[in-house]
Amino acid sequence: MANHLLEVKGVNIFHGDAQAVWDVSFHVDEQKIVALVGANGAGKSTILNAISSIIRPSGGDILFSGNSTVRLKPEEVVAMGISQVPEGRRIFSCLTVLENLELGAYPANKRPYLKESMKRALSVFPVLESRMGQAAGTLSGGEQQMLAIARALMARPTLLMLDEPSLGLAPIFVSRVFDTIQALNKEGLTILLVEQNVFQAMEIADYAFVLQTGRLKMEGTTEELRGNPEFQHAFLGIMG
Amino acid sequence: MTTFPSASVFFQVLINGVLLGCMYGIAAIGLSLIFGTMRIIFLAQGAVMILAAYCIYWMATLSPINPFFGFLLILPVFLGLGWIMYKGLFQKVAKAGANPSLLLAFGLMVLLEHLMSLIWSPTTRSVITSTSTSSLTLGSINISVTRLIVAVVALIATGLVFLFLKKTMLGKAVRAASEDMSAAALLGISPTYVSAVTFAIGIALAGVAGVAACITYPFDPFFGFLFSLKALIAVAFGGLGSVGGPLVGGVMLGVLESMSAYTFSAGWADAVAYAAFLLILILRPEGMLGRRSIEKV
Repeated sequence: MANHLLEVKGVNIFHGDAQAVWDVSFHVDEQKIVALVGANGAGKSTILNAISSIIRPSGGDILFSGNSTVRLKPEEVVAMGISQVPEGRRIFSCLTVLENLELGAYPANKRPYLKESMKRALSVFPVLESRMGQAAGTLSGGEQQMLAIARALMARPTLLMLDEPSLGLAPIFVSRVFDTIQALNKEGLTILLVEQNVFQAMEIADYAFVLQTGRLKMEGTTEELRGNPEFQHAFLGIMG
Repeated sequence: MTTFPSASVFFQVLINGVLLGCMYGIAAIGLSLIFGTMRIIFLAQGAVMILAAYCIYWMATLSPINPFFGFLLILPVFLGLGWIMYKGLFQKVAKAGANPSLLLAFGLMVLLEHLMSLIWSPTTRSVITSTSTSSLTLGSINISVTRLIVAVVALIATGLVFLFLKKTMLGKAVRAASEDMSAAALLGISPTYVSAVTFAIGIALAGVAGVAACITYPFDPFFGFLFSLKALIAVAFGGLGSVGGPLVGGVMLGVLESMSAYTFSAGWADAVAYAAFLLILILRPEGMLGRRSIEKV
């Protein structure tokens, strides 16, 4: 139990009157890559937003290093060390690349490390260095995804959550993004990865949880799931 | 229709327009900032201006303080007022969406207008300053000293807001939140805090514009709505989201009014301004200088 960095316990989430997530429990262990997979509308992004405190679950608890986060504000969650790279990148296109990165270090307890964090983010994505003065909206899709990840790294998270980082990217960028996630993990960063690209996600993840229409369906190490006929049928396109 | 008899008359009318437009510009920057984070046209902007005007009127009547000192006085007072207004009125309502906030702004406008007419009576007032009748002469062109001071204040205010938005972390956070509030929240930027800051700055700018208005024009409690409209038109000319845009938009509006007042008649100035407003909305909905908005779906 001691090394559960993140623990989601029996969480129920509503969008208005409609329940989107039903009694979901899962955990992310330190320094692992954990994938949350499932079809569109399975509730994956909803769960990430609940962890980020953008939405509040109506039941259950979310623990980060043993401390409950459900009553915290989004900025307090970021300050604690959980950063999210949202779906669709959501970079600030009218701001420069530099300004986007600086804002990643916005929380008061992250600001003193701005220079150091910037150096690190640029060492992960050297291509951004030559684009610093450019409006972020002028970057290509793949570069925008790199910027979004770099921006999240500026907050020096211990848990990085990525929501569909491969969505809408050219294949060359998809593999580059996954390589980067793997490299960051090797440096000690814990990763929670939400992906529709199950095949790619399974390549780099240590453990995966499968969601179906808001409920947890299966879980296991990637080897276990690969050998599971139900999983094969549903996600890997292998007919049983 | 009157044509310009000489170049100097043309320049005279032009300069009058520029000076007038600077006042619209300050109010428009406030309007544009508030729109950025709250996504509403803050209808009470003009009423807040007139509130500042009455504060200066009071100060000038009851004390020997020079009305120009009002610019320095109004700025911190209205920053505080804006902060309190956001925390007390808008913070909760903003969560319910833009439409309730818009209704609240409308209610606030009506309330302020009626409170002002109770407190200060509906009589038209004006503030006389030491420079009310002075003017500078450049060749054959006369420049009203009061209006020149207003223009300089407008430029300083614009410059300060620009520096705040470009150079400070909080200012960058305001720009980021104006573009995508929920993405900003994911970075640890508190939506309520940046909204309160932006609102306070918007109200402070309305206050400064109010001081500018009261030393140039006679006013009454219901005069403000006209300024809300003018600020809105200036924003439509200049485009939302940029600081320079609304100021330039204000100057364009001022020049347009001053030119049409001269060539047609004073009564036509407003009609031409409103017609141009509609024309721009139809032809370029994002404003003449604005970039196309990059709203996320």
